[in-house]
Amino acid sequence: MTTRRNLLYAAPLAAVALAGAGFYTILRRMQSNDYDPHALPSPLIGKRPPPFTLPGTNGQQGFSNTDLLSPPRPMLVNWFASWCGPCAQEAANLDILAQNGLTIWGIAYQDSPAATAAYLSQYGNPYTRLAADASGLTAINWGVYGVPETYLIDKAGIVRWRWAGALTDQVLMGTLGPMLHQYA
Amino acid sequence: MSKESSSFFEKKEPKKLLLEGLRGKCRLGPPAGERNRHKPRKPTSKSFLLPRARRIFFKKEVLAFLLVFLPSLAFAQLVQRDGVTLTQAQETRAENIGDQLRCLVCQNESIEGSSASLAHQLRVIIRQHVVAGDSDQAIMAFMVQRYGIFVLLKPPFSPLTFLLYASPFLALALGFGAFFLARKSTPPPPPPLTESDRARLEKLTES
Repeated sequence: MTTRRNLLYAAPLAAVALAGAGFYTILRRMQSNDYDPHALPSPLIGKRPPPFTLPGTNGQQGFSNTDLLSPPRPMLVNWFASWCGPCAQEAANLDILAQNGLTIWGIAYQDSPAATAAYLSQYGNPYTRLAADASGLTAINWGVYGVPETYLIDKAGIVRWRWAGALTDQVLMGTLGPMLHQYA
Repeated sequence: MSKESSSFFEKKEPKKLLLEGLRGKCRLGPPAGERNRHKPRKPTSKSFLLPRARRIFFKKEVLAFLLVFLPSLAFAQLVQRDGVTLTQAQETRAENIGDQLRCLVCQNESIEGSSASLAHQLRVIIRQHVVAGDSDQAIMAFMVQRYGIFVLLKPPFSPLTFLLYASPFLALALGFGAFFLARKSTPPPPPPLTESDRARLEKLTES
């Protein structure tokens, strides 16, 4: 009798303790930047990018969805803009990735060619190809809802991962690195 | 007590007078004495128009013009929103769709209510699709295909959202479970006193 009653009294306490542990984990992971509660899962994952053709900018070659059908190695498509703060934050990490042999193609989102050029000369240019989505309509078809956004495309041309926000060191080490290994 | 109540009425008196005065002034139509002076004249013609105007009104050309022009008035109520021109009915439809979609930048606002530039673009797209004659479902599907079900402010019932919709009923079931457990755990009433118990009780209460 009494044990059952004790159990009933303990139940709310246990619930509160469980919720506390949950909140603690979420906040810890938010702080260490490997969990973003505002990030959305991309419906593009497991699929090929939608049809598009974008012109080049900054004197570089643009690209279309057919150019992404079968890259020789997994690669990144990085959406950015010169007017975006977190883009400048991740620029150094993109440069490091490019220097280490990862192919990165860029798409300048709703940006003027002059502003894009100035941004790239200031923060470095990690992009082997660079297209401009001046209207932002291709971005909507990709499901881009802000810049920067980075898509990992595997050798079959399929989107495997999408990161909305800056590629911080934690994201590179914790998520992108293992993904690149997995789809190499 | 009576004094107070009388003062209460005194205070009310001028207000009452004022109200009556106003009523007199604001009365519609002429005062009672003059009411019958402007009796409607006997109509000289059975038509609502003067003969000359009637002649013009019923001319073939005029009738043909009105026949074309009047129905078009129903569609002519064009509005411009986010750079797209559409009829009022189409705009209402577009607003209804936009109200059900989440702005992905601010995440707690609808596309209709947000001032983010992405929301503006999506409003334009919704209106273009509405003008093109797409159904509400097709436009919703267009958004879900790009942004996932998160774009819907009211999530559909799916395995992913099952817990969300079932949680009130689960909580109710848990509550009932706890209630019955608690009821069971109340100890049963003590057995009736035996003869020896009663004798002992008597002894104890006597002293």
